Parts: sequence; structure tokens; C-alpha cells
Amino acid sequence: MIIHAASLHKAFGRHEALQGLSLSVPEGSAYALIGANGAGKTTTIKVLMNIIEPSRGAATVLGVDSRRLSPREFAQIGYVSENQDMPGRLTVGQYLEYLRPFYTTWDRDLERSVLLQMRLPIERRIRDLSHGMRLKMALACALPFKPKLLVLDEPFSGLDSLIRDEFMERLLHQAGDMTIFISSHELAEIEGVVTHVGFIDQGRLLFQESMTELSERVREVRVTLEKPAAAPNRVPEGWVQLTVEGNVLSFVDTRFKDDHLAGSVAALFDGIRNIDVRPIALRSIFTTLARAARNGGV
Amino acid sequence: MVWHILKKDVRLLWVFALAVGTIHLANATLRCWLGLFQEPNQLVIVADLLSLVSFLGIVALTIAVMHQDPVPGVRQDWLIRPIKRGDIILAKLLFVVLVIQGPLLLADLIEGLVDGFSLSASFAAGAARNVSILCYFSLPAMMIGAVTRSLMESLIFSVVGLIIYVAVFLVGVVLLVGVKTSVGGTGLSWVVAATWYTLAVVGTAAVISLQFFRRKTAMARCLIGAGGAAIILSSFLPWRAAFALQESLSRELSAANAIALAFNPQMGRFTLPSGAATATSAALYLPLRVTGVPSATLMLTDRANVRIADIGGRTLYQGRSNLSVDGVGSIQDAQLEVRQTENGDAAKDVYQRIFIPAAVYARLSNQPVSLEIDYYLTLFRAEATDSIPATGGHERLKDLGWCATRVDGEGDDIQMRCMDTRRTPSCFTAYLEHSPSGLRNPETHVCDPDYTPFEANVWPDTLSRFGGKIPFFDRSGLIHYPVDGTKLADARLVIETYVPRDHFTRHLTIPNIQLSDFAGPLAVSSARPTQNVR
Repeated sequence: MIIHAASLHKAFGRHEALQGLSLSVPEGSAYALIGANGAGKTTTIKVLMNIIEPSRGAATVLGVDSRRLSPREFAQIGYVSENQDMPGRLTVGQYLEYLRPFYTTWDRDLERSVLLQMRLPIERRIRDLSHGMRLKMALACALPFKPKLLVLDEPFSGLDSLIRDEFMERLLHQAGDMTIFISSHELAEIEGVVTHVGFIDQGRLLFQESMTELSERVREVRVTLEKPAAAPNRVPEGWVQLTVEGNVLSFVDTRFKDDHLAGSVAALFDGIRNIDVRPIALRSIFTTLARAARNGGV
Repeated sequence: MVWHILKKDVRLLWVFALAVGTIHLANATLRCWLGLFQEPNQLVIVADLLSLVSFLGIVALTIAVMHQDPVPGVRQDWLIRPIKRGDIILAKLLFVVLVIQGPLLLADLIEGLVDGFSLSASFAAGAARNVSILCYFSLPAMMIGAVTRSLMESLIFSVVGLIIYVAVFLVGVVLLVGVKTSVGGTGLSWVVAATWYTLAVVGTAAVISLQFFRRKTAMARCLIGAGGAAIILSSFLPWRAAFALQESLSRELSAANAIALAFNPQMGRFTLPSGAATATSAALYLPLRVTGVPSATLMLTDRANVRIADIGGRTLYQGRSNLSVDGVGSIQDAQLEVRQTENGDAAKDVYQRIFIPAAVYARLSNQPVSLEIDYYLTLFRAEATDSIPATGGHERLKDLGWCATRVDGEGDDIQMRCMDTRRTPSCFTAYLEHSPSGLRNPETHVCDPDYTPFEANVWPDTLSRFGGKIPFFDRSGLIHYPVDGTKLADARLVIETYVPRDHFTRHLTIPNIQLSDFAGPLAVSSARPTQNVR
């Protein structure tokens, strides 16, 4: 695991921003940490980057305790945040020139290529860049040294879709075998890009899984019965959002297995006319799982 | 990467640094132009203002360079870059030394050279001043810069600190509780400066390490507060401890061994010299015989702790007397001073003036009491004698630097001014001597003790200045000077300087005395006690 966190706690006064968060990011993955605003995503990242210290618990990044991260590790970590403070009075070119010597792996050709593709004005002062341009600038400062781990904290916040697409295009183009750890409150932004997701809510990670497994194990099921039926008192584990309307039973099976479903339905209901199984959109999966997790886990 | 970070900071702050450097240079130029007599006064005010602005510039620029890579906060880009914290600290320190203090040193060097001092002397004076300014301003500013994020935050931090200092220490401790600083206003006041220097160096190392390596802003801020409190508390260092330290630093440890003080009632009661104006306040004039003062020396009291007790030994009054005693009187009033001539070794009979509050005197004057005095004394040795024409003199003297003389605007004094790259002498005597006739005027003696064991000339510039007015004509007609206005053309001003050599203590006990027997012309003092146990 390139990032591993165990029972992280972080309190700001009385507010517990992280309440025992644990997560694992496999090397080479594109891991998305999803959660609503205020869920604890940025705090998690700042703890992982040793910008703030955890109150309790520990994390390792690149195999090193996050509190001991040294220039050697930071030389392999690219970090892009929506609210990153760079020296505003330097121009884009001057800041890149400043950063270059700190990275032995800095690739000038890659830098030029990134700048060209992002259409960043190298003569303009950083403080005069728009929000979107600043994010691009942060990415331009994070890619040329080919980091082993790229950490993106809400990189799309406030960006219009055109810039966001450009950003993602650039990112994917450069990704290679880089591990990407990205936080976002908007699932649609990263759908199709990430390989793993984790869902954070109120400082806890409710679940984490690979996207492939996730999309394979969650299905919307619609069962048509011969005659109207009542909702059963007990349902198999993993069935959520169960509703019965007349002779139609609907639910989301969060532990879907093709060969088990018919048997499970038959054990509860007689006279099954039809079972319709459909994959559901990632956004719906999250909504469902998040609700279920808040109500006691999935 | 230290130079690389430094270059970045220079690129960001060169305009600001250039402005501050220009102020240093403008100030040095103006000081040179003002010359020895520092005239006209209006321009002296401008120069003083420039000195103040240059210090503020140093502080602001130091804080600004720290803020280029601020520590407090969670959004700084440099925190996630492979930049060694030690490199940043070194780069900031180099910026302060080279970019901020370098131009100041250059300006000081130019001022010294233009004023005719040698390169080595000018450099030594400039370097010493720079070290002092580093400790007084730059290092504390580095600390403040390390625990704040913006100039505004730094300003608020400093103002809050100042308010706490004024409110808690000055108003609370000094005015309300009545505790007075022990070393302030004496030759030992350097102890406060030395504490400041030490804490500036140690504190900067601690605060910056804490901030850059552990990012503990709250703890670092508390540390700065504690350091500030320690500096203030050093003013209240017990006098005995401070003087013991001073004694250990004596240049000639046993030079004053033979000196003894004894009560000498045979001298009788003190009477004012004929024709002298009556004092508006008075006190006890204690007749003393001082023996063993070596030739060509001067013995001066730094402080005298006075205790009056009843015959049973119960303390009735306790007070102290030194230069800073409630602003009472001049040095001649408050101090016991004995001077021995070059070949003299005779015992000296002197009256020591002791101020006592009127109410205390009224209560105790006619009863038998015992008087105990703890003397804290310094022996000065005459170090050099130089002379310069009494009027129109403009000479470089070996021991005093560049000196000049002229008749003052009122036409009754010789105005003498000297400037040097070295520290001004603590004490000097000056007198007019008419060379053809050998006539000599009474000496004018000036003492402003400063026992600082290191060079620390900060204000207003790199050169130290001293001077005085030596009378040759009395408009009231009471005094007739042998060397008067008619002889000035052939007269020379002779200046003798004294340097502190030994610091020592003596204790005097007078077991049975009636205060009224030794009261002065007016046995009532308006002086307030510095410490009164009754």
C-alpha cells in the first residue's frame, strides 16, 4: 500500500474532524476519496502530507510515517490543492525555475509540454492567475518531476467543465504508473477515471473498494410476483431500499451474485413471475451505500 | 539549496531591501553633513527620524523575508516540497545578514571613513553596531516573522505584546506595586541589554527550530512571551547579584583593596560655600574620611543602601541612593565621589549627601539611631590626557577621536564636542589652561557611568559622541576665572578621561548618631524613598 492510515483522529478544539479513519491506497491505483463538504477529506490529506499532525492514530505514505515525511519522500509526491498558497509575486516561469533544482527527476521537456498544453502564461504573476489557471499551475508544478504519488485535494472545485476536462485529460495523459489519490465531493467528476473509491462521512471511512468490484456487486432488482405481497420482516444481508408496491418488489442488492439471487428471492416469496436485474449508475450506488452505511453498514 | 532559496527571496524583496538600504545611506550621509556639533537642530530631528525609520525598515524587511516561506498555516506550497527546513532557516539568516544588515554595515563604514576614521576602526565600530542591531531588532523580528503569517498579524502580535508589557509590568509592577528597577539608570544597566542579546540568540534558535522542524506555533508564541518577560525581569535583577557580576568583571580586581571609608564627626556640620544659592531641598550631610584611594584615580558610588535603625536594631527606615533615585539631583548631589590627583595619596574628607523623606526626618531627627550604609563603588583610573585649542580647535586626538571646540552662543562657555568609533569615556574632566602664563581654570567634571563589557552603540549611528560646556565667564560676577575671554586665544582645553577599573563594596556602621546633628542647610527633603519598610 502506498498510503495506509489506521484509526486517524484529528480534533480542532471540540470538533472531531477525523474520528478513527482508516484507509489503504494500493500502489498504481487511482483512488478517490469521496465525501460531502466537511466530511474530512481535506483534513485527511493534510494529515497524510504532514501539514497537520493527527491527534491520534498513524498513517504511512510511501512506507514512511506521515509525521516523518522528509524531502526524500516529498521529491516523489505531487500535491495539488484548490487552496494552495504559492508565492504570488513570482511569475509562473520564475516559480517553475525555483522549483526545478529541488527535484532530481525534473523533466524540462515534460514541463514545456505541460505548460504548452495547459496554455499557462509563463510571464504572468501567480497572483494574477484565475482560480482555474492557478489549479493548472499547481498541476504544472506537480507533474514534471514524475511523482510516484499524486495527491489532488478537491482539484475541480469551482472549475468549469471545459477546464476540468482539460485538467483530467492532462492528468490521464501523464499518469503512467503513478498512484493518484484524489478527493472530491462530486462523484461525476472522477467517474471513469478512478480505480478505487473510499467514502468518507463525518470523519469516518464508511467503505472502500475497487470500482470494478463495486459496480459488479451492486444491482437494482425488480421482482414481479404472481399476486400482491407484504414486505418480509427479515431480508437477506445486503438488500437495501426495499419497497413493495402491489405485486412488485424493488430493492438494491449490495452483495449481488447472479447465481444466488433467484434462490434468495424464492426463499421469501412464492409465485415469482419475473426477476429483472439492472446495473445502476455509480452516483446511485454511492447514494445507496452511503445511506445504508449510515444506517448500520453494508 | 541555501543560495537558491536566498536568490528567490532577493528576487521577491529587492525593491524593499533597496529602499531600506537607501535610508541607511541617506542617514549616514546626513550624519556626516551635520558634523561634530550636529547642527542645525531641525536636520538632527530629520536624521533621528531616519534612524528610527531605518530600524523599522530592518524589522519590517526581516519579518517580510520570513513571510516568504511562512510557517503558520496549512496552505503553504513549500510545506509539501522537498525543501530542507535547515536550508530555509539558513537562507533567511543569510538574507538578514547580507541583504538587510550588509547595507547598514556599508553605510556605517562609509560614515566612519568620511568622518576621517581608519578603515579598521570604522569597520570594527560598524560591525559591533551591526551585531547589536542584529540582537536588538533582526533576531526578534525573525522570531515574530516565524510565528506570524502577514505583516498585519506581526503588527498585531507586537502591539499586543507591547500593551501587555506596559499594562502588566510598567503600570502594574512599577507604578502600582512600587517595585523599581534595580540596574536601570546606573552603569550596570548593560545587564538588561546583555539579557536581551542572550535571549535574542537563544530564543531565535529555539523558536525557529520549534517552528520550522515541529511547527508548534502556539508553543513558539508562548516562548517569545516568556523571553520578553525574562528581559523585563532582568531589570529587576537583585542589585547585589548584578553588582557581584560586575565585580567579577573588574579589570583590576584588587586595585581598590586599600580604600576605606570611616565616619569623621570631627569635620563638623556641613555649610554651604560662601555665595552659593541655598538648596531648595536638603538632607543629611554625613562627614566621611576616605583613605587609600590610589593616585590618579576617581572613586564613585554606584549605589548606597541606607538603613536607619533604633538602638535595639529595629529598622526604622531603609532607602537607597544612586543616579536614578527618583530623579533627584544631579550626580554630584546623589553620589559620593572622591578624586585623587596624579601624585596624591592623602586621605580625603568629604560630605556624603543622603536624602531622607521629610516625614521620616521629622520623626527620627531628634532621637538616637544607628545608621548603616552599604556602599557599591567603582574605582576609575585616569587613562589619557589630551588637549586641544580652546577655540576653533579641530583635531584628531589619539584617545578621544575627532574633537572640536568653539565659544558657545552665549559667549560664556567653551563648547567641546568629540566623536569616535570607540565608546565614549564614562568620566572625564576638562579645564582651560593658558599655556604662556600657566594659569588654569577649575575643572569641569562629568561622569555618566557605563560599565558595558562589550561595544553596543546602536543609537543613532555608528559613532559615539560626547562633549560638554566649560565655563570661562560668569555673568553674575560671582566667579572670576583665571583663564577668561581675553586669554582664550592662547588657551588650550585639557581633557582627562577615566575608565572603570575595579568594582567593590564597603560597609559603614555608625552605631549612635542623632540625625539633626548632620542635617544640611534645609533639613527637609522632597525626595521620595525608593523602598521604605516602615
